[in-house]
Amino acid sequence: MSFLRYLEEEIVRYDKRVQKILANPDPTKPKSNYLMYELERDNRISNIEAYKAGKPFATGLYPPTIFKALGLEVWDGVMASDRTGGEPAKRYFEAVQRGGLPYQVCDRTVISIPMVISGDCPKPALVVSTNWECENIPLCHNFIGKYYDLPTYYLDVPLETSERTLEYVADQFAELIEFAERYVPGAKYDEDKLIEMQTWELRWNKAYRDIYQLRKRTPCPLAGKEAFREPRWPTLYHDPSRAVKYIETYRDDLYEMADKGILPVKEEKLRLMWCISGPFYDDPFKYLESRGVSVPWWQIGNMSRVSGVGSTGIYGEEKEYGRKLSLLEEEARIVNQSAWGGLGKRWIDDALFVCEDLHLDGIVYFLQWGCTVTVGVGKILAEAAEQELNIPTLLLEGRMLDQEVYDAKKFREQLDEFLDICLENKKKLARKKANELVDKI
Amino acid sequence: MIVAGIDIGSLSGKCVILRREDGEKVVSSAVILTTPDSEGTARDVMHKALAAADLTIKDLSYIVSTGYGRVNVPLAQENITEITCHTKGINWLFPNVRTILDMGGQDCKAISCGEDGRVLNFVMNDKCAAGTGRYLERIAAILDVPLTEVGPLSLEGLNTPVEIKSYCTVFAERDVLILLREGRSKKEILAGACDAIVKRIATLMLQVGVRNDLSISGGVAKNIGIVRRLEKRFGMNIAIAPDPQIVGALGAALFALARVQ
Ligand code: SF4
Repeated sequence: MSFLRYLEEEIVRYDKRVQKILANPDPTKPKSNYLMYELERDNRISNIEAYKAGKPFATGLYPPTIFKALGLEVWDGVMASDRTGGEPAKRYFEAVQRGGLPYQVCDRTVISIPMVISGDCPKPALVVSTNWECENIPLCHNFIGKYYDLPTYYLDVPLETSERTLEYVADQFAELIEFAERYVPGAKYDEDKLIEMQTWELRWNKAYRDIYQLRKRTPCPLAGKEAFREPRWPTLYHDPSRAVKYIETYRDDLYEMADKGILPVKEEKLRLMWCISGPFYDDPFKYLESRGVSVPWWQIGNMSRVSGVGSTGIYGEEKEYGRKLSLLEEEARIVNQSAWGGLGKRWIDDALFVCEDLHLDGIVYFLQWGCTVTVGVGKILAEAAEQELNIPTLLLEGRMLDQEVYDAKKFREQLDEFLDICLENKKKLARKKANELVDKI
Repeated sequence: MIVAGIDIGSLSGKCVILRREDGEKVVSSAVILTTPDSEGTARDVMHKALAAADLTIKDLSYIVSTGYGRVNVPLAQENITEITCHTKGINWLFPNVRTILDMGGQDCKAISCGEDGRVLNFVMNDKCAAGTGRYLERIAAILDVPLTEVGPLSLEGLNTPVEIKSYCTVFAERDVLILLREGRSKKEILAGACDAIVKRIATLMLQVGVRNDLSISGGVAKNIGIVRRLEKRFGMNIAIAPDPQIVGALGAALFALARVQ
């Protein structure tokens, strides 16, 4: 069975990494890396076991907490695409081109389709398609629903947060639960399970907020690549407790390394924000580090909100609505504040907030081809960053998984050029600040 | 004092020898085709430029390399990025230029610079053929028109241009075939193609902000059809380097001179 083979290949891959780390630990990397690979490996093993046992899977990135409370397994196709590189990615891209499918759409969504067609991911029993994400991902989920003729629930997330929209989304969650119980054999809602899932999410979120505090240090103790460690919610995993254990250990590792002075950049010349996507088959971050540049932050749609930065509230907080929320309202609050499928203003406000908060000197905005939501935001962000913070932005475009259009030399050339601009700008800003101080005295 | 700037591009290697007397003076320059061996290309082009000025490598006080293969030039004391060198070279030739459009066969760059010749901002398109010289090359090939005639012919078709709606080169080729079947002339089609490419370039230029004067370099500078259209689109004075191919090497040589002063 193709699905099993795909997961089995991944299990072997992750196991190799676990063994490699155990045999030869690298003191410059977080010790918890092996926990992460172990978690990924074992999650796939659980996927296979659940699949063999005939357990129903739900797909859609949100709401995994409710999926779990319904007793469903979660298949996260978007993240599976993100982690597909090398040969499998090539194979999927070829399948897309052969099939006359939309090749120029964003990589992570392009790849999801041949994954489904080739049977490389589990046939779900329920699909949730939502505008909480960008435009392409719900289209992709609609495709999965139609391809397998599955019960598909369309979750509509409004662009504003208010009592009214909170109720609107909470009502939809109640409807989703009814829908799943009616159409998915074996689905049964358990409120205690939802409480448990929200508790795991909260703990995970707290660890992520702690890591954010660490990013404020100069030099930044996180390597550029660490900024890209995706915020993957614990409830997307078969066993959320292990995902929480991993993130908490990872946080402790980072603090320990920072306190011991294990730093990727000893003399930090610049601090940059990296936006949207990147050439993940290459390692521009190592190169930046060799030039004394750290990347404390990666900004994608929900990054800051997921990690609690600039978000209006997380599970259990009463400030935002001035009252204790019901369990489903808590879920509604989380989706309603999304920036991903939300207003461009949220993207810009979040990015500017982080730039200021982490004292960043510039922005590298790597536009993923075919990303409809971020295509126009780059230019708006560049202008806002220039006007409000006096920092420059490098606008790049490319693909995150398909290397065919990538030219490493040209890419470095543009980075080099941009670093010179940032250094010059930093000097200029420092001079201006010094002059203002002198004027005051 | 004599210095050299070497620009190793993906197609050609260029070298400029500069002498400082009362001011900077270009002593000689050379252009050769690039080979896979960047180091060898750099050596050959430099020897060619030195020979033209009756000099030897011992006469050089400093060498700066630039361009795509700049890091593989061991005989250079320093390497500097292409955009910075190009901007420096243009600034030396035309001190009033604040916006630069450099468009070759493979990529297109829009650069905004300060009065000191420093790069303030830039954007590069090296992905979409519609924004590079490849677009016109393909269309000229379908129409069987030499590239050198594309510009003048496109100006003759100015009054009755056709509209090529597809930006994508592949679809634009299909549009061209349809237009030919409809009986539209080559001039009209070329006028439409030049209009389309100018629209695309303008978008790129607007991203960095367009300020007077404008300088155009790269292969497109030789296309009078594009130059006139850009002049009209932005209402600007356009400066074109007499030998646009060596501007990057010139900039590198100017940096070399600055280093030894
Ligand atoms: S890169 Fe853009 S289109 Fe692709 S998944 Fe992310 S937001 Fe959606």
